[in-house]
Amino acid sequence: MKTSKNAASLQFNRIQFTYSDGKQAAIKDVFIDVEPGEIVVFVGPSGCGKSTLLRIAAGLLIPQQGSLVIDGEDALALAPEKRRIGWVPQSYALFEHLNIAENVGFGLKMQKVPKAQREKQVQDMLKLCRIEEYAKRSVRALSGGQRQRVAIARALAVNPRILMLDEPLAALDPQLRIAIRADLEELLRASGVTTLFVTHDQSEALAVADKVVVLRDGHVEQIGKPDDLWRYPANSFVAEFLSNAITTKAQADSSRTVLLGGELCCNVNREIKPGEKVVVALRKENFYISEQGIQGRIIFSEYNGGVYQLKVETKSGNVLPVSSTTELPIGASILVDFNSASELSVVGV
Amino acid sequence: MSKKSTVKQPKDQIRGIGRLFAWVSATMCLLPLVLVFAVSTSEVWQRGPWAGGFTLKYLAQGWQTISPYAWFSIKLALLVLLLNFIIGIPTSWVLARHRFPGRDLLFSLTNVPIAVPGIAMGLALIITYPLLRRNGSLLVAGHLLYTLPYFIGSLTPQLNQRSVRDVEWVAATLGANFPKRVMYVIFPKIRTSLLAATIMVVTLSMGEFNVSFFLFNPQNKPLPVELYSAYITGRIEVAAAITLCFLCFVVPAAILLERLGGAKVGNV
Amino acid sequence: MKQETMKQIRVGLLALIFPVMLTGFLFWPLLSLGLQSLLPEQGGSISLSLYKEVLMSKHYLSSFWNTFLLSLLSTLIALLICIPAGIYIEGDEGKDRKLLAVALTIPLSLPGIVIGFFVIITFGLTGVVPKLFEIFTGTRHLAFAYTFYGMLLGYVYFQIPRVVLTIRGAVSNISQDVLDSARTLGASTMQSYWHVILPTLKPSIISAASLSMATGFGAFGTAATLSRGYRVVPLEIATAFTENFQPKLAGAMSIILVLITTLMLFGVNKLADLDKKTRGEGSQ
Repeated sequence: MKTSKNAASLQFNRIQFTYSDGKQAAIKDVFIDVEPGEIVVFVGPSGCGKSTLLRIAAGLLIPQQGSLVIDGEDALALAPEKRRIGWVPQSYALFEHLNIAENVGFGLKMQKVPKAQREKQVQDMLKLCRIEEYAKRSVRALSGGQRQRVAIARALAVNPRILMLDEPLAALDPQLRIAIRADLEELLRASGVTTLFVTHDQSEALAVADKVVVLRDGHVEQIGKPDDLWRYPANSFVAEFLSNAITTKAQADSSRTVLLGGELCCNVNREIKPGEKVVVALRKENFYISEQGIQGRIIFSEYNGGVYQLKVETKSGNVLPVSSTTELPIGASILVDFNSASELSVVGV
Repeated sequence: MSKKSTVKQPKDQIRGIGRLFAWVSATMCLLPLVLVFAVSTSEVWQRGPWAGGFTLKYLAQGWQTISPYAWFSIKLALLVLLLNFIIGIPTSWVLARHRFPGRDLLFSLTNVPIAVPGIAMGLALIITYPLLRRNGSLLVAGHLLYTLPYFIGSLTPQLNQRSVRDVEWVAATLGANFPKRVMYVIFPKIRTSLLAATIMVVTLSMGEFNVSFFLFNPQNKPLPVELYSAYITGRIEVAAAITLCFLCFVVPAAILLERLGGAKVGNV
Repeated sequence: MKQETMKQIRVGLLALIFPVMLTGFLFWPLLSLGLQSLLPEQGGSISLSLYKEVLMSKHYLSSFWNTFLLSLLSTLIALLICIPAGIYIEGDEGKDRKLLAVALTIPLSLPGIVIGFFVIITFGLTGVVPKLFEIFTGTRHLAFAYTFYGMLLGYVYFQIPRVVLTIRGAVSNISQDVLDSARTLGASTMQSYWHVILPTLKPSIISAASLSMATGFGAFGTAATLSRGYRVVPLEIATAFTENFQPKLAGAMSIILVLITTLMLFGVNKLADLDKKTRGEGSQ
C-alpha cells in the first residue's frame, strides 16, 4: 500500500456526540484507529452515525466527550480550516459561481498559494482526475460523475493529510457506479492519502476498503479487514448487513460442526462445544441443490442475471439461501446439501 | 473553541454586525408605531408627549372623520380581491400547468405593472378614459394593476409545486374529475397560500396611494387619500389618530401574513 | 385529436385574459399618454417641444437629479444595512431572529404618506427627537424632517423591508454543505464571505437594487408628505397636472419616468444575465 508522505493517522477516542435538538446520542462511545494511507470505510444503515463521525473528523461538529487525535496532536482544538483535511459531502457542494479550474484551485487560493504555482497544481490535479478538458466549463454543465471528480480533485488539490468522502457514489446512476468506483479506488491508491469513506452499500465497502467499520445506532459493531468481517462476523447484525446472510439457531454436533434442522451436518468457522446451541449465519455459497441433503420447499425466487436466488424452507423451519441456474417454481420440493468446502460463521450462542 | 454540540458557523463578525443592523432597523420600524399612539393621545403634542394630558378625544374624532372612507376602502379592496381571483387564478393556473409558446412572455407581462410608477398609471388612465372617472371604475383598474403581479407571483409557484401536481394526478387516476379535484385536492393544499395572497391584496389595496391620488373623486375616496389631506391640513394629533386607526387595520394583517409564509416582493 | 385542439384553445383563451386586461388598462393608456404628450399644450402639430421643455429646463433637470440621488442613496444604505441583517436573520443561531423578521416586514404594507408622517413625528419641528433635545439641552436639534435627509430617511425606511426579504430569500438558498466545504478547504470566515457568500448573493443583490431604485424613482407618497421645496419628479408630475393644469407636460414627464424605471428594472437584469454568460457560468 503506497502511503503519501503527507498521510496522517487518526484516532477517534471514546467519542460521544448528541445533536442539540436530538434526544438520543448520535455517537455513543466510539473508538476507531486509522493508519496512515489506509482506506477505512464506515458502513451501516441510515442513521447509524457514519456521516456524523465524518463531520466530527472534519471539525464541522464538536463532540461532547472524547478526543480526536490526528498525527499525534489534539485535533479538536483546531478549526476546520486548520485541520488540513479534505472533505467531500454527498452533494459535492461545488461552487456554482466559479468554473471547474477555479473550483479545484479554491483551497490553494484560500491558503494564499502564489498564482503561478497554484495554476500548475490545479493543472496537475485536473490531469490526475482526468477532467482537464472541462477546466473552463461551468459547474452546471456537468454530469454527476464529472461533478464527483471535480469535488475530489478540489479536495485533493490542497494536499490534505486525510481525505473524507461522504457517500461519494450514492448520487450516481447505478450502472456507472461500479466503473466510477474502480476509478476512484485507483485514484485513492495512487495518491496514497489516508481516506475515510462513508457508504451504506456493503458491496462497495467490501470492494474498496482496507479496513471496514460497521456501525449501528452510533455504536461500532465490528472493525476489521473485509475478508475477516465476511468470514468471522462478530454478531448477527454484521453477518446480515455485510453478507446478506440469514441467521438461525443450530445445535453443535461436534467441536467444528452443527446440525442444521436436526439433519444437515455443516462445518463452522470456529471451535464450539458439542451439544451447545449456537447461532450461525447462512450464506448462499454454503449450500447447493443436490440429490441428497435436507428437504425443503422453495418459498422465494429472484432472478439475478444468470442465476436464481432462492430461499428454501425446511420442515424444521430453517430458511436456507441457495442459488440455481435454472428456474424452479415456488412451492417445489427440493433437496439442499451443504458445501463442505465452506464454513458457516458462528455469530453467537 | 467553545464546546458546543453544533458548530455551524464560528464567531462571525458579519453576523454580529447583521444583528446590530437588524435591531437598529427593527427599532426604527417599530418606534414610530409607538410614537403615533403617543401623539394621538396627547392633549397638546406641541408641548411634548402627554404634556397636556392623556386623551382619547382625538381618536374618537379621527375615527368619526375617516369611517366612511375606511368602509369605502374596504369595499374597494374586496372588489379588487374578487377581480384578482377572476383574472389571477386562471392566469396562475395556465402559467403553472401548461407549456405553450409565449409562456415566458406572459410571465414577464405579469411583472410589467411593477415597473410602472403609480402616478404614471393613474395619469394615463385619467387621460385615456376621462369619462370613467366619475364612477370610480378607474380606481378599481388602478388597484387591480397594482395588486395582480403580487397575487399571480405568489400563487403560480404554489400551483407549480411538485407535491400539488402529483397529488392531483393521483386523484385523477382514482377517478376524480376536474371540479372534484379542485375542491377536494387542490384547494386544501393551496388554502394557506390563497389566504396569504388574499391578505396581501387587501392590505396592498388599502394602503395604495400613488394611483388613488389621481383617480379619486369625492364620492369615491379611499382611506389613504383622506389620510393625506389630514397630514397636509390637519392638527398633528388628529392626523396621528387617523393614522393609528389605519395602522390598526394594516399592522395585524401584516403580522398574520408573515406567519402564513410571508409576502412576495415582486421578482422580475 | 379534437380534444387536443380543444385543450389548446382553452389554454389560449385563459392565457389571454391577463394580456387583454393589461393592454386595456396599461398599454393603451400609456400609449395615448405618450401620443398626447407629443402634441403641445396649446395645440398644433406633433413635436417634441414638451420633452424639450422638460429636459432642457434647469428646474426639471434638478428634479430628476434629486430623484436619482434619493433613489441611489436610499438603495445603497438599504443594501448596506440589509445584507448583514438578512444574513443574520437567515442564520442558525439567535433567539431574536423570528422577532426581527416580523418587525422588519411590518412597514411593507405602509404607504409612503404614512412613512412620511412617521418621519415628521420623529424628526419634525415638533418631533420626538428634537423635543427630547430641547428638554435636555435647551435647543432643538435634528429637526431635519423636511430636508433632504428627512426624505432620505423616509425612502430608506420604505426600502428596507423589501430588500431584507429578497436578501433573506437568497441567503436561505445557500447550501450549508457549500459553506462547510469552503471551510475545510481552508477559508477563514472573512474569506468565506468574500469568495463564496457574496458572489452567490450577487444576482439577488443586483435584482434587489434594481427594484429598489425603480421603486424609489416612482415613489410619490413619501415625497408628497415630506417635501417643502425639495422637488422630485413624481411631485412635479402631480403639480403639473393638479395645480398648473398642464396635463400634457405631466404626461411627458410621466413617459420619461416610466422609461427610466422600466429601463432600470429590466435593463439591469438583462445586464446581469449577459455577465453570467460571458463568465462561462451558463444560463439558468
